[in-house]
Amino acid sequence: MQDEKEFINELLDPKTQNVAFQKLLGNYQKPLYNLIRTIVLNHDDTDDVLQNTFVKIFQNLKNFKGDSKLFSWMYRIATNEAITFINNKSKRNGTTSEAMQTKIVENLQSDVYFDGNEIQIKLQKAIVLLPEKQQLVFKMKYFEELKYEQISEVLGTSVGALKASYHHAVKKIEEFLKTN
Amino acid sequence: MDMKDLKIDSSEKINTGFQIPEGYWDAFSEKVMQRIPKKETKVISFYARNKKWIYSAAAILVLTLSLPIVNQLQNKEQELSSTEIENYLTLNKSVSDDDLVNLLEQEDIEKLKVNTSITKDAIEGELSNNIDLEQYITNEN
Repeated sequence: MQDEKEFINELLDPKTQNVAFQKLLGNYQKPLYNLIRTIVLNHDDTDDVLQNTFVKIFQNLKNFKGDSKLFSWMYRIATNEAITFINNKSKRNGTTSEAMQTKIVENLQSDVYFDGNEIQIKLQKAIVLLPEKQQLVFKMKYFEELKYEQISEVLGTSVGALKASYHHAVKKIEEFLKTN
Repeated sequence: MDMKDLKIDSSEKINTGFQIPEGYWDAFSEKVMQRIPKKETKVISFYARNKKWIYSAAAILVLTLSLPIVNQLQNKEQELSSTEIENYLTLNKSVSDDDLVNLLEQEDIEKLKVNTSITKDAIEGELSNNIDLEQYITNEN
């Protein structure tokens, strides 16, 4: 991977912008898709949010200060877009985001783009019951396998607090699996 | 795997089970590129690129077209009064009548033609009143 500063300059220079942005898409579309999918859960919504995320990334490139890594900056935008999307969608449907997420998880079995067995559905049901922050930390750490340092940059929370959050989340999920 | 004793961090990892439609990535970047504001891509139009030349050409065109008008304005200032022309023609011996006629249009010449048809009675009357008539006739040879 080339020097990040150099790559950011290519993204900002009108002459190299298109090629550089295509490269950015190629490198990040899949990891960002996976992150967004764990939050919004269905494919079509993920597609919407992912497109919005990249458009937003493009529009804000000139404001990117470089005081955080490009990676964590983009993950932050994707996370915010996904959470905003869920909140807006639940508001439109006159419900809470928790209630809406629960409903989606209960209907996962009928989702054509979900190929999971009982344990996967149960895990999702357990995650939905967690507070929002614990959900995010668990998804980033367990499914996306990010390091605590990376999650810390994305969410702006200290590594210590993240470890505590993850520990709580794991305990609650294991408890749920035991009793359900 | 027994779910009841499942330890998240020590048991086999459970994946999300989420699937992506086939061919989804083939079209994805194109979809995003189309939504990106066009002005940011800095497509330089023919007009913008050749602005200098287009303005230069327009300026030259305006100058060229305005030449006859400028000429006419200058000519007006130099226009001579008809008295001056007459004086010139009378004083300048080198200009013959033929030269003048050559300069006239056919139409002008027609206008200059004087109707000289004289009735016979007028001629007879004139002749009979002329005392020298007999002499003119006899002197004829």
